[in-house]
Amino acid sequence: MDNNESEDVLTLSVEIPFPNSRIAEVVLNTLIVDSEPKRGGTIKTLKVIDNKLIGYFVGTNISSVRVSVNSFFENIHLISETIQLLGEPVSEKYSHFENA
Amino acid sequence: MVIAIGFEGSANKLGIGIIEDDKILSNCRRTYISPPGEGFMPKETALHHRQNILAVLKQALDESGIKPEEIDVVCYTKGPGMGAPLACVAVVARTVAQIWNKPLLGVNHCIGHIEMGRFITGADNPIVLYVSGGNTQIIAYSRKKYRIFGETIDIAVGNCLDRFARVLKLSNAPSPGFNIEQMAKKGTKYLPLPYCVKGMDVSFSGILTYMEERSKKLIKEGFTPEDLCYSLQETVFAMLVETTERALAHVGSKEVLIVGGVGCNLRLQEMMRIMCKERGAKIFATDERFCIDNGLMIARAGLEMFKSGSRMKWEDCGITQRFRTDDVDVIWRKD
Repeated sequence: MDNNESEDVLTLSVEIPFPNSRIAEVVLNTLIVDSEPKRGGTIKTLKVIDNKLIGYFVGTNISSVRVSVNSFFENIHLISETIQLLGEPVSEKYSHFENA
Repeated sequence: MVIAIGFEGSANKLGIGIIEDDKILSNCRRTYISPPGEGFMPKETALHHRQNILAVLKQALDESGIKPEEIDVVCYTKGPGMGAPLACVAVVARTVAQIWNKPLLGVNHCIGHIEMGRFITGADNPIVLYVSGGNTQIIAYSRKKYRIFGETIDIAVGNCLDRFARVLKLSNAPSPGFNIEQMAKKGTKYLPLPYCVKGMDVSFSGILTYMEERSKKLIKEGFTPEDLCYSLQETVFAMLVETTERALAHVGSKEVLIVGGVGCNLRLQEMMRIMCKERGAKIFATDERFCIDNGLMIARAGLEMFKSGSRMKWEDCGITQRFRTDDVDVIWRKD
């Protein structure tokens, strides 16, 4: 499976619950900006349903999917720690999305 | 009154700084130090940043004595730099901006160095020599851009010095360049080395290969490691002074500003001072707190951008490994 010749499509769906939907949104907004490395060919789709972040990974190269999923978890860990340090978001909504 | 916080982590230094207009509130930094003979790799460096960034953030906030709600803008290094370290620092900056509900600004790392140098030294419109482990550029400002007059065509001067430190198995603490500088002070015998100035550009990879291939033999023949450090420094710094002098003459400026990690090398500053004296120009340089990568420089450049009305859309708050100095519109300068 760990070569580029395989045409089998590998999919992985991950569901991560957060204390509330606002935090799930913060995590989504933080993660959604970074694109996956082009060479790996893995496609990552993220969305929030209620307090859950849902990550959907599709790829043909198992090692590149693994890299994507690993970095997904590492980032979520880092974001969670950041929220633990600083506390909950101060506002109901982020007001600077369309600043430019 | 504007307060900015800056996150930097484009290479092995992780820094967070807070500035209130012209007042430095805090500037905290931790460095990932690899074992002697080894350089720092993206994966390990990113791990270091992830493990340390929240401690540095807490320290920067505590030292600044301000509350998060007083901050006006969150700035982070958008690029250029190593992908993985840049990305994990940007993740924290994006989270922080959302938690505090503050605008987020991506800053060009090179612009950070230049604006920090101008701020600390008071240089007004200098020729900038930007020398570090990842960049070597001779820069002058003209019509809303920092324009690159000359640069390295292969590796950065700091990369050349760092990798020669690896050949000699020097310690990477506090930095390989610092240890080369100390060794070079004790060198007496000069070894002529290839000198690679090509117009306004410079090249260091050939010099490094020359040293890598011959070091062992040269040491057997009676050169000491100190002599080799001395010869290497004299040669590469002479190349930098030559190109800076040419830019100075061309632009007609009377100021030279040295920024970037290699900029705290006192021998480079001394050689530049001699050249400046001959031309009636003035040299500006800073110490390691401000010229080695730090968070404050990102806060400072971000502050200037923010004050002049620069804002960023959320979808643009990613990172980019390549980001040229002359890609940035310098809207905050009035000249």
